[in-house]
Amino acid sequence: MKKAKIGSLEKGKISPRQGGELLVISLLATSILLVPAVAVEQQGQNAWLAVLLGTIWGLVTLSIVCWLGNKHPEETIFQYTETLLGKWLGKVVGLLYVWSFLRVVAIVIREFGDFMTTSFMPNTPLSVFSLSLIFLAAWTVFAGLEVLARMNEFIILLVIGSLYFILLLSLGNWELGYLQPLFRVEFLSLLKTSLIPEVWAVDTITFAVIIPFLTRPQRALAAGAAAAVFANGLLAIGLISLLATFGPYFLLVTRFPILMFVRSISVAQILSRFEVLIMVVWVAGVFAKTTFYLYCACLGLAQITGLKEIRPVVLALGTIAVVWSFSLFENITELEASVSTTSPRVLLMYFGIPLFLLVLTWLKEKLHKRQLGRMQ
Amino acid sequence: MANAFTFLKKLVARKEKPKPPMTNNKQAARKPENDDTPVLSERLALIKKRLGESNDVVIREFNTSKDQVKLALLLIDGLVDKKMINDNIMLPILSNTLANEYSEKLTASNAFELLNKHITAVSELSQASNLTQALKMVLSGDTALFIDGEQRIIVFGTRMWEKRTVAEPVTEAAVRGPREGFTETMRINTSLLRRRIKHENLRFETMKAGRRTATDINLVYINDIVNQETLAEVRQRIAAIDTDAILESGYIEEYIEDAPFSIFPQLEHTERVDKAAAAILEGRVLVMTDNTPFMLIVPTSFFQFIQASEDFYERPYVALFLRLLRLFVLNIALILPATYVAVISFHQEMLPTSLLLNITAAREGIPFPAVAEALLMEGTFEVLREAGIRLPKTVGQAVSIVGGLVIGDAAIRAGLVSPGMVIIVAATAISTFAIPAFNASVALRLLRFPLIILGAMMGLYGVIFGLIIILIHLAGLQSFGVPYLTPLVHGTFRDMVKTIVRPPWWANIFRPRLLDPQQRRRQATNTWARHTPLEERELTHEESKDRQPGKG
Amino acid sequence: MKKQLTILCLLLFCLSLFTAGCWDQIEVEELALVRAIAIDYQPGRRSPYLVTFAISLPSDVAGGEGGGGGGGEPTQLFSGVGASMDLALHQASLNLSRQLFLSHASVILIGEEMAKHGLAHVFDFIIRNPQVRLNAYLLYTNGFAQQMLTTTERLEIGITEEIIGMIEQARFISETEPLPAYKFLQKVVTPGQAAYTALLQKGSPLEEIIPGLQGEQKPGGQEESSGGSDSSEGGGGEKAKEVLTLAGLAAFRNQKLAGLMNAQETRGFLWFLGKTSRTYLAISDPQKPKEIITLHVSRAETKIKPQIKNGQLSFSVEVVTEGDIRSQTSTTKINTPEMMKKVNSANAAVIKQEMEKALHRMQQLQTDLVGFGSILNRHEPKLFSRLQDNWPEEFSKLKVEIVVTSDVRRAGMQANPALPRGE
Repeated sequence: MKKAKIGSLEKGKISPRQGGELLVISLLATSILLVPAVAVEQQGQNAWLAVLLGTIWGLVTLSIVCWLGNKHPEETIFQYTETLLGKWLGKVVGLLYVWSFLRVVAIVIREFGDFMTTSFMPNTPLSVFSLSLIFLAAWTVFAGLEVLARMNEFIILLVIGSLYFILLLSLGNWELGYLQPLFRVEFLSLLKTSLIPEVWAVDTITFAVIIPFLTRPQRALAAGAAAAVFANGLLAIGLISLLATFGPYFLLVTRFPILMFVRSISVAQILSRFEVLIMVVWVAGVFAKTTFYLYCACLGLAQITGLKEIRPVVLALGTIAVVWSFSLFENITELEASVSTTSPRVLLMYFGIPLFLLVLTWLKEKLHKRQLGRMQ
Repeated sequence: MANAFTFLKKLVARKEKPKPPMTNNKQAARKPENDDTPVLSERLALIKKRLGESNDVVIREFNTSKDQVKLALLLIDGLVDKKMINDNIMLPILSNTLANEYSEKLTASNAFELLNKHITAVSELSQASNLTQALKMVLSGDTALFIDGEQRIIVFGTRMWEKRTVAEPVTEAAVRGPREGFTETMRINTSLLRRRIKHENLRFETMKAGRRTATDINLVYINDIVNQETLAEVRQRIAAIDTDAILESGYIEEYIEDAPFSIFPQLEHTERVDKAAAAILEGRVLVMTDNTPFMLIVPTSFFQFIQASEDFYERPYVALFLRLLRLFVLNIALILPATYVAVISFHQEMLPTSLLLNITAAREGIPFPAVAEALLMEGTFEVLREAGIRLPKTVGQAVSIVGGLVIGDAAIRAGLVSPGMVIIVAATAISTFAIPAFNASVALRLLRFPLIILGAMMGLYGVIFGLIIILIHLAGLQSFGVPYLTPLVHGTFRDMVKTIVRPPWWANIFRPRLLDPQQRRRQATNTWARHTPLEERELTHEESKDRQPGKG
Repeated sequence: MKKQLTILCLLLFCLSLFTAGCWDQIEVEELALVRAIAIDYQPGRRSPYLVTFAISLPSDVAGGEGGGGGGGEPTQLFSGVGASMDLALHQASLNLSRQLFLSHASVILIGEEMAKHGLAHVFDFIIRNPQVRLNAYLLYTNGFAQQMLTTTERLEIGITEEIIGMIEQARFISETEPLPAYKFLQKVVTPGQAAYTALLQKGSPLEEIIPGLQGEQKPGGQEESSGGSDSSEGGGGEKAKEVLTLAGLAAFRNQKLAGLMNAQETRGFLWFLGKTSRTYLAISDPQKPKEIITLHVSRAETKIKPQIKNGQLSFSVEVVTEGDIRSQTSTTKINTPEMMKKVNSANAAVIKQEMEKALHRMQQLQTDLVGFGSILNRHEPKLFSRLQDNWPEEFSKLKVEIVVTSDVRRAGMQANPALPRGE
């Protein structure tokens, strides 16, 4: 019966590779812009170590989620919370996740708008960017997961291609001395930095939603892990090149270091001012990420409320996300403060609850076995 | 509006639940069959009533040589081989000199059998059980022989009419490759294909569509390669067509494509025989329509439109270069004017300083904003191109020259447009011509205009916005179950590479994966390093799938 | 169908959203293309920032090819004053029929007073403003920066092109090191590292050396010289020619000007960075000390390492250089291995002396242009964090050991001095 429920909400299936690619874009789209500033502020020339360490936390979340997914085949996190925690508590936890996904949508939309207005179009109102972005996202969610995944495959080529292009251009300016002294860090503070949600690959939680739609769910862990390692690896390489070009001190001066980085590139006096390339990549990446999270939120809400279709929810949640994004922060500094600190909420959502569910599943299984044993 | 809406509703209804295929027999069978009668005179009257007084209908009444039986021939003048009718049908029946034992024995009761089997000398011969059936065949160019008192009708295959000879395909010229193109005649077309694929499993599956045109449609495929599901889907969709006329394969294309409202062509068409054969051999289905040289290839993915058949005959490096060039040109054709408008009215910092100074100098005194200039020039160019196509060839060239050079130059001198814009428009236009598939380039031409407007409103963000909309649309498209953006999206790595790189033939071992052909392997491992004595090689490699490469 | 209609409606909605605006749209011909910015500071005033923009006139530049008609300036200068950069910019745009567009400014000139006041505000402006290029070159000028833009003796059409050309040329001369703005800033913010800019000066260098060469010495051209055409028509040495010179450095300490380094000191300093190449060195002939041999440096490599001996910090600097002999004023035969050795050691001594002079000057100014501090930070972060607070003073007392290895590889096309045999 549950199978039918999933089937009616989402008919499409995506390959594990596509799932991994969705994860990569979710990780890269925001982190490439925000992490350098935050991580370098706290860790100086060792910021990239924090990113690598953060990957491990992401992998922990991922493995919990994948394990849960395998124990509850054909079910999303919104469904197995209900089977594990009971109907009402399960729904509440499910809604918590919907809320959290939607919050990501709101934050990303806001970040995107702020970025566009500060760097490229200072006279254009924020709402233009938010509304147009959410429009595209809602449309894609309408079209379904398969379309989203396919489109993302295209976008990811664009994003990664241009990132490599920029890195390549910067190679001439590298000064490896900036990366020294290497490894002279306090482990505790490194740990703290690595737990910042942007550094920590928290996006791996989305796998809890898409595992049932994978053509081969048993490959979820491998695909997700590869994606997380790849995305954070690329981020670390990006950080290294930023650090090697500018040194840790200069990076702190700028709001969007990667943008500053591109602004300073000039090849043969003709090719310069690549910022717009960054903008293009960033728009595409942010669009994919917003869509993916909006999809997760919508699917979750539809499943919790027992709707037959995802569509009625899309416009409602999209509108809420936009309004939320306006009211979320007063100004850009609040936004920055919020993404650069880790809160108990984050730990609970991305680590606590999944772990709790895991323990619960395990206990249930044990109990079940014991009962079976007794009956025999 | 309401009308349009009901129309749309109907369309959707058609898509969602295809009605069970109505055979043409049933449609035509509204006239009660009992009108038909074995009595010849009544039958002829009936024919005259049904076919009317058309002057190409020929009814020839005659008797057998000894007046045993009354006979009548029905044929359409211009569609039949009269010499053949004279020599092989009428002469044996009428002639006294050739009278043989069968002519002697002829009576009303055994006339059908004898005429059928012994007297006439026509290779292609069939029977019709009633008049309606016979008329259908006659209208296709066959000749019907009515026998007085006999319900059954003998139909001789005597089709012959004026045909265009096989000529070089006009729309898909190639430097290297066969010069033969399809013609309007289906029989010639099938022969062209059969000559290329001499395999027992090549199938021509006949279907008909169009109530009034009764157009022949052939599905061409290789039985043990094609994906049966795709084939069944094609069959079903074509069978579901219920219309009165099919005049070109374009009709069928619109009936069977997945997204009828899409701006992108979802089926590739070709008039090159080699291209069609290659598609069939890859595991695709060719939909062959009578009376048009354009064959449809099903399923199609977007990247087929940047491939030309020549790629497969030239050196792989040439093909690689050309495909990269076409990919580049594809982007230019779509976004160059929009990007230009966006950059010069939003992102002036992107241009090198000296270029910006030149552009500014050129734009001083031009009354229009850059968008208006772009739309004006693009519009003018579209008009010129359309005029050039419609006019006779010799005049057409003159028009393009006068239009392109003279008007362009005058517009610059008059200060209407800036030279930069003319260059952009010209570059875009040339790029559109470099895309091999006309239908794909038209789609891009159309999309250019909204992109220009978006670019003028929001700069590059607007362009990206537009491109993402296009991307969402493309990602959602499917052509007979194959995602439109394959293999760049959703494909195996090998196929992805093959989109751009044409591998050398000896290394092109597998058929495209997404077509899901029954046999993926195309050939044995034919690397140049392997020297197998010729006689050990088999002609076909399909059967030896499990054979280890190198063994034999 | 409903879905498609909804999407259509939404699309129309979105488009209408776009059409309402075009907020940031501006046509190219409405832009005033700023090519160079000169920033001056007038202490004691309420609006001390004097910002001058060199604006290229597109039609003149383009039309200049056809015929020089009136010989008008292709660059127009507009200035504004204000209590901050932005206010000055705002004021300057009152005089303009077009919108100031800073994205193509590739040179930023800093006036003397500005540099003395400190560059913090200037950099705030440069970074915060999304238009200004970070790879625009930053140059220090003596006196008013604005004056540099009025120089009329030049090869290029516009003054900015002239300055950019000189900056590109500087690579081949090695007597100054022009830095893009972001590199300057990078040096400012890095602990244990002082920043510097190239020094742009007006006036003929020959004039200083040979005072009697030109009849009248007038510091003319101080005002906006619209009469550029006269002086070029005059051609000869009648009037004082004014040319721009790009040589030497301005050293900064904490964003404030600390002092200037002349061309020779600058070259000495560049040896520390290993950036000296394509420069000429004069060494005295080993046999006839009054005559000189000119060497051309083709490559230089420098390694700097901190050393701690008995708790005493010192640095070792190793320079390896390659070069070839270009000319000699004497007729000494130098094509022998022994002579080459002597030339090498003389060369090393000359370089070492130059470097020591430069180091002395830097220590005198208490500016660590080389970045000894940041090198120390990389190797001995703990030691550096102790010294960090008064690094400039520590630097001025720093001991540096310089070891120069010279390798003269080639001696040009001449094998022997062109002399009659047997002499």
